[in-house]
Amino acid sequence: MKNRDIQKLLKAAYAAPPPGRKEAFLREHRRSEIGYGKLLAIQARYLSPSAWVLSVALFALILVLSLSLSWRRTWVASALTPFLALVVVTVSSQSERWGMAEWELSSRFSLQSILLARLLILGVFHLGLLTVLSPILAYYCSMSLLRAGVYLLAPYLASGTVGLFITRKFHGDEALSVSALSAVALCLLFGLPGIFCPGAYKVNCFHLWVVFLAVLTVALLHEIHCSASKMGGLYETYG
Amino acid sequence: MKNLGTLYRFEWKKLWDRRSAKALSLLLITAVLVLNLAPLVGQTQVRYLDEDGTLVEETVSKLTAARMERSYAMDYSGQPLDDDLIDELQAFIAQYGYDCLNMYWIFYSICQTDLNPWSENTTEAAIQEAMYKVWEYDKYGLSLTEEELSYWEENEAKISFPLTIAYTRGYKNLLEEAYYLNLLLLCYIIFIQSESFSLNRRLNTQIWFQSAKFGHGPAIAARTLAGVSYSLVSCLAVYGLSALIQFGVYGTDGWDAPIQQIWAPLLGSNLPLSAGQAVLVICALSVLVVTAVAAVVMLLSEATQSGVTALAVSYGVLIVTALFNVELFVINRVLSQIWNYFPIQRISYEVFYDERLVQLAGHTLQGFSFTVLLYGGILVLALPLCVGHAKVTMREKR
Amino acid sequence: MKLTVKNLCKSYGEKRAVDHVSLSLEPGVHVLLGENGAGKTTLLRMLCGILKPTEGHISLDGLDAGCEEYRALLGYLPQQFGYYPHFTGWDFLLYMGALKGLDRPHAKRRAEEVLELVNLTDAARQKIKTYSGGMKQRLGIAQALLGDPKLLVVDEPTSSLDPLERVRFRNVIAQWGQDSIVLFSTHIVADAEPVADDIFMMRHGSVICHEQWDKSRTDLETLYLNTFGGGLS
Repeated sequence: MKNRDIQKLLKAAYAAPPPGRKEAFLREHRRSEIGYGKLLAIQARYLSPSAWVLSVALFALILVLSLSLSWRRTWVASALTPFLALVVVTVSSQSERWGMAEWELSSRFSLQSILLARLLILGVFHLGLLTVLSPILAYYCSMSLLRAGVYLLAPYLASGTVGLFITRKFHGDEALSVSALSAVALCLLFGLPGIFCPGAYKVNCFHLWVVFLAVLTVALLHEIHCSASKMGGLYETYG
Repeated sequence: MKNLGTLYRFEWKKLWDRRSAKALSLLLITAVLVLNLAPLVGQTQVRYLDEDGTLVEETVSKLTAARMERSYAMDYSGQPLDDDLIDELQAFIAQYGYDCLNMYWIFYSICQTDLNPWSENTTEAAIQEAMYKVWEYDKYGLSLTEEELSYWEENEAKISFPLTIAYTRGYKNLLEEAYYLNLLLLCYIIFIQSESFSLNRRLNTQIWFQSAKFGHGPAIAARTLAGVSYSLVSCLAVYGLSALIQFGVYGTDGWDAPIQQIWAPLLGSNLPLSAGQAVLVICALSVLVVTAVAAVVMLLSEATQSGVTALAVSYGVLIVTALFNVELFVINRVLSQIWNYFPIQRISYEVFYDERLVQLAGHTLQGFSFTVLLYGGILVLALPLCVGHAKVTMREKR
Repeated sequence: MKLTVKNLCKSYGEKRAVDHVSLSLEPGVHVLLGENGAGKTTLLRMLCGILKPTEGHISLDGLDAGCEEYRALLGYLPQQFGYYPHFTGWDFLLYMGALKGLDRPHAKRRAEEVLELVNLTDAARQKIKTYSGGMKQRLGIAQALLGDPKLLVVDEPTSSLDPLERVRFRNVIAQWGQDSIVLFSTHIVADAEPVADDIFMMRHGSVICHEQWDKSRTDLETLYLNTFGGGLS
């Protein structure tokens, strides 16, 4: 007799009995569970307070500088928004840095869900802050709301994308340091042209910003997808 | 000190062997290469007279164009920029245009003196007068005091006229990019050194040092030495690579040319420096500034025992001083002078026409001298403080 | 050779972590037992010169704890420790050898010997970040033995080791205790029984029991429970 035939016979002989009382069993042991909406509310409470404080502080700094400087407001605001995204990157790597990843991986809500919840909460909050900033910048710099929004959003998305990429490739506190460096580099990248090449913020270059923003949006979504996929396993924080 | 060599080697390994350090080093080298080679990439139109005297127009690579410019400039190297040469240039321009490579460098040299090479008023005497006028204008632009004006009258560069033609493009490029090289180095060194003294706390390895015979003095000395030497080596590598590229492409001719001749922004400088000396000075200043910054970051790392804090403070200062330049203080000379001494502001070609003097303990110091004193002092203060603090905290007080 | 501890105290504000401990230790294996928070680790850290005592004095044949000569004779394995993840085991031992004042040829020779002793020779050239918990612990033990210490202090050394490695460790400790002072704290009484020359039990910062130990005895756990358990057995 061939092995395959023996295997088939064994499977038939030792087949599991049909499920009986499965639903009754599950009903007996089912706990009251929370939905994803409640998860978001809970995660918002457990986000580190420094994330909220830093976000508001950065927003206040950008606002004050935009209102008080009589020149070059646009590039100052653009240059500082990468640090707002750095706050999101910091929170996204929180589980791994604090050694909580193993707990969260084995819980009902997967680590991916928790990560996405955190990104969503802070992302929406920051979008709100930038929405408040945009009309102020538009008014004081005599530009359209769309332009102001793009000048604020593009560096934010760039920093978020690069930061998430870095936290995928590096681990632990090293990832945080490299993300901070990338935020600094983006700050200088968006800020120095304001000094040395003010034309970068003029209307005739705006179409390039729009293209850049579209590319960054796709890149950020890709990075979020990759980061969430990677969260399926535990990674040692090597320090 | 016994075993210092081994300890030093392992401290270097700690700085270098991180993935982030290697990735950043690669990024730094790439940025330096891009900065130096980007102007040579691509193609450009050139016009020149060939050996037969035929005007040739062709598209060549930018590297070839640079070599051609150098080759034609060297034909006139060492010749005086006198009335005869100016007449020859004007006749050439009238026939072949200003962008014809054969005499392009003469045209460029006159442009740097703020004169129009086409004009019939452009003479040897006019060049001399134009340069003096710019010097005078710059002195008043800097709001120099009477003492400073007298000082510079006695100490200003004694340039001999007529000027001598020299191909100084390599020197000009190095002086121009010094600001960016310094910025790259500062960003790199701040990151590398931010954890030099706080790494042990984060990784919980300080126990090895606390209980070992040489864990106190020699280990700390090795760590400090490694940090300083890493910064030195990084600076020398960056400037060395840049110099290799620039002088490899553009040559070293013009070492002795006065800096006032090589580039229009430097026309207002009173300093008696040659192009070669200026490049050496700015490299040396940058090395000193970057090393002093490294020492301060190490001190922050030790004092706060947190790499993130050292990083945040250092980058915060760097960003503020890089993005908000001295125009903030245009009405206040003292504030603008202080601002100019921050690491990112100090290293640029502008340092050559900063003629504001500093009075210190009854002595009058030029900007360079004061920069060396300031950053040398920071280095000399920061390192012992760092070592002293590390020794004190080695014996746990909790 | 004698380690003398006189009236040692360590206070953190109102709390006294070590309370008037006096010991006199000669070459042999001395085991420190006690509940969690009894002050064992604090005592060991003071003996290594890492913590400054609030009161009291420690000396090894006239050498004060914490001085360079004292640390030259010391081998210490802490309860919790970190490592440089990109160092290999070999790098780590050479580095520790340099910190302990061994010259390079001697450090290399000793590193080979101690790696053999802890069964890490094959993994010596791998990066520490790839080591399991037990391997890291064995590497820690290896570095403690690197400088031929006359005073070997080990804090919970066998917590991550498998049974075979624990037996190997006990043999190493027993061998070392013939010429050196070995002081080790543990919760696993089975590790202490076959090797201890004497047992110290600590509670609330004080040594409450000191017993000369016969290695043939197997009732250490009973003694421990009677001392701390208050009737539990």
